[in-house]
Order: sequence, then structure tokens, then C-alpha cells
Amino acid sequence: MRHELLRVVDDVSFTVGRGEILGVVGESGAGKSMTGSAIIGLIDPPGRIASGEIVFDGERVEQDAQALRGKRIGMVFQDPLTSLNPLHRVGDQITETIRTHLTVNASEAQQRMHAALEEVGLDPSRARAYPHEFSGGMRQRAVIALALCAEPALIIADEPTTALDVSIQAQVLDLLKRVCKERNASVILITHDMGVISETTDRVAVLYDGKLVEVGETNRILKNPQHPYTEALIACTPTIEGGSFDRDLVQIDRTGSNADGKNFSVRSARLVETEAQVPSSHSNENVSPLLVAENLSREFDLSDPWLIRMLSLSKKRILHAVSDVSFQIDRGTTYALVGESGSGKSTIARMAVGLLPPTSGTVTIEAHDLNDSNLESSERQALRRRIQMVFQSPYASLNPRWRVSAILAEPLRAFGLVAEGQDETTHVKELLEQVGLSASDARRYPHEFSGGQRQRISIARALASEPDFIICDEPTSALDVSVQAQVLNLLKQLQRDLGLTYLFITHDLAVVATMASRIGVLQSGRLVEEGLSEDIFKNPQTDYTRMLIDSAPRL
Amino acid sequence: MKQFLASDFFYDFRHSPVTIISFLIIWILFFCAVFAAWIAPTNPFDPGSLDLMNGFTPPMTPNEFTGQTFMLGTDDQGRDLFSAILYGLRVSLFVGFLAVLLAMLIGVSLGLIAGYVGGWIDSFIMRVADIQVTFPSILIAMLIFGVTRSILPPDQRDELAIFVLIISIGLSEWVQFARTVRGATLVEKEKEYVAAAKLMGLRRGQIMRRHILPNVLGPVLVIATITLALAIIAEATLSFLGVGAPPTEPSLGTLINIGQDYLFSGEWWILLFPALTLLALALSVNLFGDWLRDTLNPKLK
Repeated sequence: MRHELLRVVDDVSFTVGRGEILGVVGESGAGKSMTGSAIIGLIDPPGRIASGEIVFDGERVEQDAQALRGKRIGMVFQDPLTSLNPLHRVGDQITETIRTHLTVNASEAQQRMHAALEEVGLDPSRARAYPHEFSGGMRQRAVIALALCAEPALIIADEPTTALDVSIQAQVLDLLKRVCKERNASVILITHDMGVISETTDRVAVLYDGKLVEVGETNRILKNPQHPYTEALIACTPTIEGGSFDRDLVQIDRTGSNADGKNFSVRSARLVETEAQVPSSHSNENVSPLLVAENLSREFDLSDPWLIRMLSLSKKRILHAVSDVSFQIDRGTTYALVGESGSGKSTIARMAVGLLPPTSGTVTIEAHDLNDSNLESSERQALRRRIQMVFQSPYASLNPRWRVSAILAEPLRAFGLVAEGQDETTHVKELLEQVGLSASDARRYPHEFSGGQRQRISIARALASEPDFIICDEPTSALDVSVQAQVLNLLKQLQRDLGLTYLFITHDLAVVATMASRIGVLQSGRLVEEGLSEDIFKNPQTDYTRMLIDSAPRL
Repeated sequence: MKQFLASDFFYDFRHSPVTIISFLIIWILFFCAVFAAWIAPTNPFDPGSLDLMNGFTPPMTPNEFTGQTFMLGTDDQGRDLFSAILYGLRVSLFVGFLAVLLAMLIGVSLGLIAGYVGGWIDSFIMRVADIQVTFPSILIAMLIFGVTRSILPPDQRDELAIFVLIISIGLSEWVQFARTVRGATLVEKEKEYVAAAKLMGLRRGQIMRRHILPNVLGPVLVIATITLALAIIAEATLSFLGVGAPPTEPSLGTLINIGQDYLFSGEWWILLFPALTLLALALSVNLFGDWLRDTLNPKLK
């Protein structure tokens, strides 16, 4: 609320040496970005630096740091699309920055621009391209070139790789490391990802709720964290090597916190490791498959309307989002589809739940096909009841105008699980308790919950119809690691209790390693590799899979 | 209530004097219109109470023949202007509100269907809207008004004039609603809660009504307020042109029309007071609508 004072960052002190990469890590709301903005004087009113000072190269940085910004301190932001001006050529933007900050003539600026592009691995002949002609990774390289071109002594990178695929993330991080060493420049790398910290940084500062809980050598902190929060953060980060689908993740237990989490004392963080009973079904050969996808293909017609095509003599443009994908999922197990953006994972998910009809091929649940047009509406509804979905965004997947009780009651009514006129409150209460929320939460609206709690509501809604198959489309990619661990553990718990079958869709291999017994690797719409989870991680058969595993950042 | 008083919305309201004043003016005028029968000293719609001898009495001066005094003077018929304005305000607001309601009903439904269903239905509805906005809305209203009146039997024309007015203004203002709602629907229908509703096998109508409609109504409220000012002015314009409310039951526009005949012969008050009332009403509603738009639009913050 605007008429209150909020202390976002409280008493944070650290130093960055020349040529050093300092990681700033923390969960959302920890004040990471605010710390970064403070250094370059980019805090918007009504925010202000209430106390403390920033000393850069022996001089105190004032709130209005115009002179330092760009010249001595370069910046790289999370979204490369918004940090480049879409109306100007990439090369011109770099040249402009060079001429603003360095006293050089036009041709020299041009040369420096070419050199900067070359340094970040972009072809200087593409200097005349506009930002939209670049891919995400190329754009982020261009942003780094922009940050480097005035030869700054410090680069602040705020979540520079969060929007990128793992393979490109690895390249961008390598680039940052190389540039830092070659130029003896310092980097402050702000991220939520412990893996990125471990791969890239020399030292790390851990923030929690606006306070600095620990700072030191990255290796030392990762191996031997002094503070319980750091310890918990490291412990609950899923890893490819440490993960197994038959064991729960370590999760941070916040028993000491009250409802809003504000008074949560870090000391009360306590590690809970649950040794789970192993579902034996994956080794059992005579389990019948629940879901079978056969030669599944989906095309999207991206061509212009017929008339325009005739006039401009252009050909039809067809995007093959999914081509000829076949797999099957055994009852009671978790199957993961992994791939980078654009690999067709979400398209397969939408076809499996019947939101999108396949162009060819079938996807069936015990030989029933949702896309079969001969299906009676009651049969179709009965089939829908058995297949539910948990969505990616905890913000868009719940109707913001509805109370939780209405959100959960809707599937109960739609599938006729509660008779008309009958009270569904006991049902709703049971569902909420099943996902670890309290019955009193039913009266609240979605915006009153945190991301993790919303994802629990989303799971409860999927459970309402008592399905036997649930598709999880990146259910934790928008969540903090500690919350991710809780949600993943909840999913595992529900699978054991209710015998659920999951199709798990994700780009995060570490999450896959902790969830799935079988994996399918997708590359531009094709299933390139498929098999048992441990086989794929230990002995990948294709170069693509090997590359994915190698470029995943690890602790 | 406590929650409302602590909200950002109320905070913005308290810190904008222009909005508070316009809000007060709207309420005062609204109150006057609703209780016109009790506030007004005479009933201007009753021809029997009029005395032609009272015609053209200037404000606050006794009439030279009858000796009666009128606060805001009288018109050519000897009608007390203050009463006529109160009753006229009632006609103007009644027509304005119902016209906006009609426009909203048509615009929101068509926008929702166009946005959600898409395809040729979308193209058809939006092209009709495109064609309609190429004409000034007052022309459309006059056209509909003229056509509707010629269909009605002559003896009912004056009785139904007000409702014909509502329909013509309502039909001429729906486009803005339809366009806004369609745009918002296109955004909302891609959200995952709509996909979740589809997974439950809900029908299209149910999804549109129960899920999408409540989420696109925010901007509709803002447009409704701004359209209310437009509708009041449209009604006044039509009445001014002599095709709206009949002279026996004058609205503000009719009074202004009567007044302009006498403006240059020195009887300035017949025009001035109705015009000032209309100005105050339209301006207040507009300012309030602008504030509402700015407050509810997070992008402008």
C-alpha cells in the first residue's frame, strides 16, 4: 500500500573486486534487483536509498548517477527484447552508446562497434539488423555488447539468462565469464538460480527478505554454508545427479513463520528429508499403459489468406509443431517430456487433454480417444473427468474474480460429482486439505495467495474430478526453488496416495530427474530419444540430449 | 466498507479535488432530477398551470402584469425556468442512462461473441462496427429516430418520443463497447483458467458468461461513464434540433432550443441557465470518467 513505508533492502553490505564475478542470489522479493538498481541510481520515486552509501572506484555514487551509467557501469537486463530499442538497428544502438561515452569520431566508433559485436560472438555484418531479426540468445549477446562497448569497469547483469533456453544460457554465461577475465572487469550477477551461481561466480552474496544472510567464496558457501537459509536453499535445489523419482526432495520447513511469512525468522528453517516408499510399478513389466500416443502430428498453417497468397504468388507456410511422436505412459508412473522452447511439448499436452485436435495420429486413454468425433457428449464428459491439467502460470490459471470455493466447486458441478442443490463445501474442504491448504482458505480470492499456494489451488482443481491422469505443464517454472520443492513433493505425495499418472512437461532437467521414471526428449517437434530416466542421464544416445545435460547448470 | 476506505481507489479519489467536486455535482444534479416533483415550485409539464402573462419574466424581478417573481425567470410560455430545468434534467438523465445501458448490452454481448467465437462472425460484427463509426453518431441517431417515428402511428409519436430517443442513441453508441470488450476477450480467452474451464467440458456460452465476462467488465465501466456524457449531449443535440423530446415535455436540449430563439432580443436567461446546467452535468460526468479511466488503468500509473 502506498501510504506505508516498506524497507525492501535492509543493511546490505558487500564489495566487488576488480575482475571478480559476484553473484547475488535470493528468492523473489529478497531485494536482489533493488540492490542492483541502487548501485546505478535507478531507483524510481517514491523509492529511495534511506541510508548507507555506494562507493565505486573510490568515489561515492550519488542518487543521480547519470555520468557513471553506461560509461563506467554497464547493465544487462533479463528481457533482451525490452532492453534493445526495436526501432533502431543493433549496430546503431551500439555506436550511439560509444559516441555518448567516449570521445571518438564516427569511423572509430564504427570500428569499436564491430569489435564489440565480434567479441560477443556476433557476426559484424549483422550490425544493420533490427533486434527482432535476432533470436533470444543473439539479442542477449547484443545487449552484452551494448553494455561492454563503453569499456565499463563494472557490469550489472540482472537475471541475464532467465528467459533463455539452457543451451543458450550456458553460452551467455561463458561469454560473461570470458569478458570479465579478458578485460579485468567486475560483474555483479543477480539470479535466483543456484546452478548459475555455482557455474559462474567467484563469490556469492545470499539475500533473504532484504537482508544479507551470507557472503563469501562461492565454493566455500556451496560446500559449507554457514547460515541455515543458505544451507536450505542449496539443499532444496534439485540436481540431475542427486534426483530420483522415488525419493522426495528436501524442502524448507517454515514452521516458525506466521501466515504472511513476513516475520519468518531464518533460524527456524529446518531441513526435512522424507524417505519415501518406492512405487514399484516402473519395474513391473505387465502394467498396462494408461495413455498411448501414436504417430501424433500437429501442423499450424502460418500462411497468408488465400487471396493474398494468390496475388503475391507465395507458397503455403506450414509449421510442423509436432511430427510423428509416439510414446506410452504406464499407469501410476510419471513420464516427462523435455525440450527447449519451440520443441512442441505444450502442443502435445494440449492434444492429450483434447484442447487441440491432432492433424494426424491419435492419443488415447485406455483406447478412448477424446478427439473422436463419434463420441457421445456424455462419454466425452466421462473421459474428460479422467484427464486433468495443472498449468504453468500460477497467475493466469485461476479466474481472478472467483473465490477459491467457487473455483473448486465448478469441476464438481460440471462433472456431476455433487448433485444439483446439494452443498459442496465438505468436498471443497477435503480438496483444500489434500493439497495442504486450510478449509478457511475457501473464502479467499486467488490474489490473496502466494504463487506456490495458487499452484496448490490449481492442483486441487485438477483433483476435484477424481482423475487418474494429470498433465503438468511446467507447473513449477514460475516458482522459487524452495516453493518448487514443496509443490513437487506434493505432486509425488498425491501420486503415491491416489495412484495418479503424470505427464510432466518441463525444460528443467533437474526437475525431470527428481520426478520422472521415463523421459522423452523433444527437438523441434520430433521425439529424438526416449527411455528410462537413469539410462538417459547416465548414457544419452543422441548429441542433442548430451548437449542438454551438459549445459544444465549444476551445483 | 473498511476495506474500500483503505483501498488505493479511495486514496486516489480523496487526493483529487476535481474528482470530488465533479462527483458532488453529479450527485446534486441526480438528486434534483429524481426529486424534481418535490423541489420544483411548479409542474412545467402541466399546461393548465401556465400563465401566458408570466412570459419572458427576467430572473429575480417581479412580473410587470402578475407581480410574480421567478428565481431563474420564465420562458415564452410563462413556464418557471427553474422547474423546467429540474424536469428537463430528469428527461436528460433518464434518456442518458437507459441509452448507455442499451448500448452497453448490445456492445458487450457482440464484443464478447466476436472476440471469443472469432472467424467470420467476428469479421462480420466488427465490419458492421467499422462501417457505423464512419458516420457521425448523431447522424445515425437522427436516421434511426426518423425511421422509427415514421413507423409509429401519429397519435403515439409524442408519447413514445423518449423511448425512440433512447433506442436511437443506444444504437449509435455500441461500437466503442464492442471494440473494447472484443480486445479484452481476445486477451482473456488465451489465459489458462479458460483452458481449465474447457477441460471441464463447459459450453461456450457458459465460459463466456461466467469466466470471461466478469474479467472484461473493468474497462466497460469506464466507457459507460464517458458514454453517459456523450449520450446526454446527443440527447440535448437531438432535442435542440427539434427531433428529440417534445416541447410539451422539454429536456435541457429543448429548453436551449427555445432559448436561442430569444437570445438576441434580450431574453438571455432562457438559454443561459439550461445551457449552464447541461455544461455542469456533461463536464462533471466526463471528468469523473477520465479519472476513473486513469485510476483503473495500471499502465497510466
